[in-house]
Amino acid sequence: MAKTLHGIALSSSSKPSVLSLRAVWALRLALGLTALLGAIVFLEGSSWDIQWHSLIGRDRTLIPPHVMMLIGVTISGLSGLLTVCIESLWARRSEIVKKHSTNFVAIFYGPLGAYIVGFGALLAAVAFPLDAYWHTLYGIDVRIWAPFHIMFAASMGIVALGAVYMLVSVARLAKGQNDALTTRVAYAGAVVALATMMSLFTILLFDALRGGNLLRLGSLRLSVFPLLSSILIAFIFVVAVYAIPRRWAATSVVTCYCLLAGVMAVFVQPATDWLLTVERLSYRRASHPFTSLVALQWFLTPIVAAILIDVIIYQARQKHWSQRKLTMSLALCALISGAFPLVPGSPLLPVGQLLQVGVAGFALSLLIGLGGSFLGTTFGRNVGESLRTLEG
Amino acid sequence: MPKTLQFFLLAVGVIALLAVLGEIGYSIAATTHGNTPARVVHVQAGPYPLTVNLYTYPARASYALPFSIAPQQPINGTLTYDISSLPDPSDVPATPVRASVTPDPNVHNGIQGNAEITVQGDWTLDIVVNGVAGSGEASVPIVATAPPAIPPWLGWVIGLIPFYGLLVFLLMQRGRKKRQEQTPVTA
Repeated sequence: MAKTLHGIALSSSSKPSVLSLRAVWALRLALGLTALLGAIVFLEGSSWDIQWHSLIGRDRTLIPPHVMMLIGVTISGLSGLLTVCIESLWARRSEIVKKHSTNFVAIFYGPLGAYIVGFGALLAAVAFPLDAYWHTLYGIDVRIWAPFHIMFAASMGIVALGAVYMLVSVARLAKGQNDALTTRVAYAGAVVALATMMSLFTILLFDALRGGNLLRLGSLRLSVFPLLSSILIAFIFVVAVYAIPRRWAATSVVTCYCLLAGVMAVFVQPATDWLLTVERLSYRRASHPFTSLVALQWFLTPIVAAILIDVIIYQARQKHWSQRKLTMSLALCALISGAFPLVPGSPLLPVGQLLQVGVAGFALSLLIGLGGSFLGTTFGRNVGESLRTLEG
Repeated sequence: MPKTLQFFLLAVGVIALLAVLGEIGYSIAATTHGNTPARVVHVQAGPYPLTVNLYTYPARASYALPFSIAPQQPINGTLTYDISSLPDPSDVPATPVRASVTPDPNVHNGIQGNAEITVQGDWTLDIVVNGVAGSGEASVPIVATAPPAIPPWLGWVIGLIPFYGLLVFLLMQRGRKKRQEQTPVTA
């Protein structure tokens, strides 16, 4: 009798466990994708904002592009908050939820990614009024490298990283339960999230190419672009190839990166034209570009770097390369994007960069960039490996 | 992550959230018209003598400046208004902003609205009126003030907070990986 009861207890407790695990990943998938949507809305809004500031000027605080960016922040922030609140409630009743989540201050439970999303969205929400305050003091400008522009965009880049963590966590949980469809959807979401993170930090790279932002070392002029670009590209692609168990992971990321720019190219200028008419404003200059200014500055060299990184990873796994050889190869591939900043709107930009800093300055900039590339590769590998073992 | 650091982060998060909510509340409150104007200006816009009431003065840069405009005497027909705030070109760089206006339900041919003053310094409230007697234009000079300035270096220290957070997180992932490698595998 006791044995029978024990048997019933086992079967009745194991089924709800599986169900609750399914509920956990369904929640994380839905809210992880929502957080990602928020980051994408913010990204597209940023592109529109740059167009607005450059062609019309920054007028009201709540211009439509700003509203769009704030909607993105709100969507992401609420997604992170909801995930933690709901999972914290579930964790009170279910040990399996506790087991597959990260505890915070002994009260909250949730995926690590949700905390990152919340942290990023909150920082972005703080950055917006600080940026308005900065403008009241120092005027209206279209420079991206202003303290609270950087804080705003980088915070949403962190949100996208949080979405990567949430979605990979879903993929791992679903894989453990042999749910192939959810696994595929979650990994696809993680690829888009990595592309979004790369895109948000790409916007911060534009000013690194400005002549006024060169470093001066005695008679040498140094560009910080190779350093910053290499850190970013190495980090994103190495995270992709380590965390996503698919061939062509980095290439998938760069494809989504180009698609995100494509969306900007299609929507930004028509939206600017439309609002200009509605708000009875006028362009600063008679001529204006046919498409998004950001899309025209989108970097193309990462496409080459991504393909090379995927090929190298494949070769390294087939031929059992040493860690050192692999790291060096990945870092060199990532450096390509820092060395040759090829963009659609200005095909001769790499030559212009070389002329700007001279041969010696270019060589030293690349050397520093190589250091950044190693750093990005190391951090990317750590994050990629930690993603493979997290909350699964 | 140590518990102390977790509680510290929670406290910072709660304070930041309260600050954001406070800022939103303050911005909304700034758009509401008080009962008593802080400054009253009489101007002549072509054939129309107008009274301009400013409900906050001096204006607070980056917040709405609530105002109302009413004809000083009854006017036949309907008046239409086009209001903009124009920055002084020699002052802090900024662009002109069109004000949002709605008809004042209590005053015939009167309007109320919010002008946006984006930067500190000298501004002008530019009023263009059209009616049966023709069109007219008037300007009301405005001074906009900002909260006490933070120096640029402090702005940069604060603005780079996401990167400090990201760096700490990435270093913690490294530590996590090392701990995993050191943990003995148990059967």
